[in-house]
Amino acid sequence: MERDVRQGTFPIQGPSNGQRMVEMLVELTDAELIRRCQENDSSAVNELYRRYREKVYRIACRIVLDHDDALDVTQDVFIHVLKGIAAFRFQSSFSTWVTRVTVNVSIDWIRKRRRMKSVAFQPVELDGVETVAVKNDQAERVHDAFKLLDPEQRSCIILREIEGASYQEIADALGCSIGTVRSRIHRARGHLKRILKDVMVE
Amino acid sequence: MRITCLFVRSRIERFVDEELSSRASESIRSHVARCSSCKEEVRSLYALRRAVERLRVPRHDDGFWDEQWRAIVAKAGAPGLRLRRLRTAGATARRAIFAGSLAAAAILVVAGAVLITAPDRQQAQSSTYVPYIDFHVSTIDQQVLMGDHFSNAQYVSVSYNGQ
Ligand SMILES: [Zn+2]
Repeated sequence: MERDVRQGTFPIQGPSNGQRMVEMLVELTDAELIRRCQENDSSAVNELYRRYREKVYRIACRIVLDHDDALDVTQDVFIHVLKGIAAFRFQSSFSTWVTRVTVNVSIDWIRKRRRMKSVAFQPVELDGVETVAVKNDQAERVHDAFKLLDPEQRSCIILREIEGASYQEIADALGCSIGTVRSRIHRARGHLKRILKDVMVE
Repeated sequence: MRITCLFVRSRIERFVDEELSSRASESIRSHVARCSSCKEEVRSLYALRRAVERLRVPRHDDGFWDEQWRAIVAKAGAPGLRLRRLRTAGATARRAIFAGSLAAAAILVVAGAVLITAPDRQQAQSSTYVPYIDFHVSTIDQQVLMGDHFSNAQYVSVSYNGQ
């Protein structure tokens, strides 16, 4: 359908703009904020961003395993949010939706990165990863161990262990069945337990 | 391994993930309290959780996030939301009105209104505006991203131009 397109100004203000209004927005639910977004209330978009930016970044950091890449992912996620919010139909919570977008953008990012390096992902032979264990820094050890998981396993285990999501919430975020979530978490745990044995003992 | 242990192990992850009914959970709990090997399994699952929590995430202040927001808005196609509406017979006339309002001069709007016919103006005022954001950077399949949450339905908004 051909459309007549023109540009209005929809000022996206800094969150510091209008202290009283911001205070009021803080008390609204996500759903109420989305309705305001759909009425072109730009401060409501800001409030959603303020609420979810850290969650999005946190999940992205742990899936893409690179802090700078995670910032790019976070930007992409909110670009999708800006684009999609007008058509949001409340079939899930905003939180579920934004988690779903974050996981999808993160996994897509990893795949893109791999293609750029033109190195196909090869699951590492787990018996051969003792080298991982020589590093002293435990955070770095966990980081390296995570690199050995495939992106979907990573996503599932992070949503479960760090974000405290239920199997159903993870299934919704990844668009797969609860059975798939369970088996991904199980396999991820199996791998991590073997690699991180000594990190886990204390 | 005892039969009971095998049964418990098949449910032990769901137990630590709090995915069992309270009754099932209680029966696992009472077994774990008595069985050292199953207790060890539970302990290692919690230890793994703590290990996973060690993955670092840098902290950023509000100023940093504001900066990011500006970048997001710029990438989304500054200045952000735009308006789109169906092309109809009166489109050309309405474009004139809209251009006038963009110039932020009420006088111009009035002047523009004078230039067009009355029926056209009426049509313009009742026309439907659909907000959207111009979007260039996505490489992701929209269907995959949006799933069931979205339709292609047009959403009506009567506010535009920051009003
Ligand atoms: Zn036992």
